[in-house]
Amino acid sequence: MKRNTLLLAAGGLVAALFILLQVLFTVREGEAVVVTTFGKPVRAITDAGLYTRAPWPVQRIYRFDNRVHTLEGAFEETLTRDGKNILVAVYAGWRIQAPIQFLERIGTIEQAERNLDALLRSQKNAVLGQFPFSALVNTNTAEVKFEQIEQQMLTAVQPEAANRYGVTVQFLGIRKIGLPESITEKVFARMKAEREEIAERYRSEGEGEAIKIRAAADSQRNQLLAQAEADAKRIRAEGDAKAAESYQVFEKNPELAMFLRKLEVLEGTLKKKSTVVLSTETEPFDLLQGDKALPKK
Amino acid sequence: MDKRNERTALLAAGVAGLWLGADFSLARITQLRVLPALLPYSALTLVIAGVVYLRERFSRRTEENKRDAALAATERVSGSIFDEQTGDEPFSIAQTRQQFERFVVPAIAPLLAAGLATWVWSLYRQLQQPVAAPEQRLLAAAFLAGQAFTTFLFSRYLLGIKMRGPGIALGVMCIAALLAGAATLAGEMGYPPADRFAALTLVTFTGILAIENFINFLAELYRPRRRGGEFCQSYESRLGGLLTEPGAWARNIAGALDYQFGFKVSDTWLFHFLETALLPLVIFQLVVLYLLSCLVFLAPDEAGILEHFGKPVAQLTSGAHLKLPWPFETVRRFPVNRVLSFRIGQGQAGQVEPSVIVWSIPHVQGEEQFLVAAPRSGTDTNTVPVNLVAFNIPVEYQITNIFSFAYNHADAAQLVEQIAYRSLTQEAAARDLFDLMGDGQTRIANSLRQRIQTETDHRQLGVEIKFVGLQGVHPPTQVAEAFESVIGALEQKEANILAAHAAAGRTVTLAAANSTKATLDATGYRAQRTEISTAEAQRFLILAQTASKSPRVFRTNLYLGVLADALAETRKYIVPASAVNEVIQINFEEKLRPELFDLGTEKKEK
Repeated sequence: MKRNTLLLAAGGLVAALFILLQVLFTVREGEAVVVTTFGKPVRAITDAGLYTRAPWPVQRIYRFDNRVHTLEGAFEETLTRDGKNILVAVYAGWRIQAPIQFLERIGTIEQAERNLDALLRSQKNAVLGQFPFSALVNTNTAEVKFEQIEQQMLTAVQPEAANRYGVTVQFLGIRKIGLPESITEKVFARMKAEREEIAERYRSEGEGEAIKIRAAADSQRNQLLAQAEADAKRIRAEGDAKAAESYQVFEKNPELAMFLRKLEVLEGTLKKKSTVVLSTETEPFDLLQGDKALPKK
Repeated sequence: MDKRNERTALLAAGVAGLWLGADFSLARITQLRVLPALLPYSALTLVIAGVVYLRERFSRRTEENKRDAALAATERVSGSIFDEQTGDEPFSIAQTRQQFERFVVPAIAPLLAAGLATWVWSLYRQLQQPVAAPEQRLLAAAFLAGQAFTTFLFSRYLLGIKMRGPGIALGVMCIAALLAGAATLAGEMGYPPADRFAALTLVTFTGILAIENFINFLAELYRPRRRGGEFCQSYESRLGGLLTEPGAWARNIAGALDYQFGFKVSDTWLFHFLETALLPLVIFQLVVLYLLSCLVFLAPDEAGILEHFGKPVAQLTSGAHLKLPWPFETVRRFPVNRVLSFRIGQGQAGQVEPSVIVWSIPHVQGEEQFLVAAPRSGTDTNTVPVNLVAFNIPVEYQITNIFSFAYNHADAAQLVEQIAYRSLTQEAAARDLFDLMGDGQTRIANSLRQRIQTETDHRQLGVEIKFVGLQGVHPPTQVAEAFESVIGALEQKEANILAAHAAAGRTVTLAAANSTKATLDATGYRAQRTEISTAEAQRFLILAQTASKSPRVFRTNLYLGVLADALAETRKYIVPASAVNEVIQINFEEKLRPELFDLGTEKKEK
């Protein structure tokens, strides 16, 4: 008996909870709830709190996250006004503006993001086609028009999103810009050429500088050697002049002087490795002629 | 003998097969996730009912054979010419049954375990993939309700006639169909996640059944056996029995233990106590679990927002807090004290960089490249040259306003990342590559941080940007070598200049030395000429004075002295003066002086 009472109490509690869940519902902060009666939307609630409703299947509730959702678009190729191919990715912040309209026309957050993405892509390409490439990338900041492009896209997207889907696009930003693969390769080639040009310039500057330094050194060497040679010649001339002064004494007996000089030459010549053919008439070998060479008493 | 049990088992298999096909078709029509998760239960019932049918059939035919054999034995005429052989025939139905019970039935449990485990893996993978929104939920709910009802009735009938295997399997199938139907109904009533939740629950329980079958198989291997004891029942789910007969949980456990240990464990006082107190204990446990939702523990890095019926009423700091139970009050948690971070340009998040980072080797996968402006090099003003640069920039931030972070944006962290990308794209697009890579990095990093902070404040994200690091900026890997070659060329330039300086130093120094040498040589020459000429003059004067005393003798003496010295070591040929008309041949190849190699020869000759 006691066991059955307990079971009945537990069953009753579960049933009561089920009924309460059918007639009460909470709306959390940041949520939007649409209540439908037999499928027809009758009210939208965006304020957090506890609310009542008729049980299913009379009334049914649809919950949506009413905070700002961030939608990230694809990194997609498009053309600028001057015909440049670029890849652009944008993101947009949107939220449900009219929950009932949103429920009727879209139904889910995922579907809304799919629809908004298509709208965003269309307007993005249209707006980017009005601006040159230099409005996106430029060292001259006065020519860069990022914010103007974003604002123009936002202005184009907002009314259509509100009318078509019951959402408000609150902000929009260009997340990233890039180039298609084939152009990227060309940019790499240009960057390489630019670097190689700088590298070659450095190398030739080095070689030029080296040639200059070596030439200056050669010039300095030649100057030094020329100066030294001139000095040496002058000094040698002084020595020769001194010698000439000293040799003036030879004029006193030129015959003896020439004889002495001949002897020097003879000595210097014969001391070399040489073979001499002499006649027996040459002194002192005339002694080899025997009696003929002996002094006559 | 009665064939009723066989027909019942066959009917159970037919019902299971019917629902299997129906659920499969319904899953294709409605795209509900829960329906494919229901299929293993029908398949399980089909297999078990099939096995039970075969067992019943073998059992009946064995009994019929025995009865026929006994009848034949009583009618046998004694003294017949040929004695009939006694004993079991080798291919009798009894032998076949024995082989079936011995080899086929024990293999059912491991085969079921393997099949269910494979199915669980496949279903789990399917659950990870996105599917289209379900359709015709009400039709599916009605269908599932019908399935639950029919399987419930049939299950009770089978359990009533003690056909436990298919009865339990059908009972589990009934509960699964009930859960699937409730989830489908909840989806129709505005709770779409219920479908996935129910599918996950069914897949998990299928996995548990797979494990149970495997454990049953192991238990069967080690179960003590008695001759003529029970046949193997390892395919019969104990857990399924607990679910299908809630009033007899204790009895099921006792039965399972009795079966396992081979004696009446269920007669002990513990089981009597459990049988009476189990339900109140479970209810008490559930109440305690519910009341635990009044307690909130926030970790050191966390803060929470207390919501009263969904409306934020207070901010909670880390530590323990009391609140009203769910659904009256709930708490949202956020890591407000933790410095949160992400990286721009890294491709996939969470990659670890290598310990040595060089530009020419990719250090993370999917490194992103950004466009940066380049100064115009040509005369064409329409072209805008661009460079590409790889960034790997850490961004750190902290939540400063928990309410803004929680309620203004569905995914505030994602928006912070988007804003950081946008700010970097804008900053890079207006900068030269060497501004970003050069000494202005700190300035640019501050500018970037300020830009992100301004935008996040404008979007009311409630965060403070703590740090933006620009250390990971470098040219893309594809051109990194070209950048490095510039540094190489610069080094080569310096090397050329230094080599030229070295050569110039040597040249000038040698030139200076040579010029000094030439000057000194000349000076020496001058001194030599001066001194020698002076000495020669003095010598001449002396010789002239001497010669004046005896000119002929002096000259001859001097001449002969010089000749003696000069000819001492020369080869001399003296030709007689009379041989004027003779031809004299002289061999000048004869060596003047013996050489080192000739010394030995001379000695021998001596």
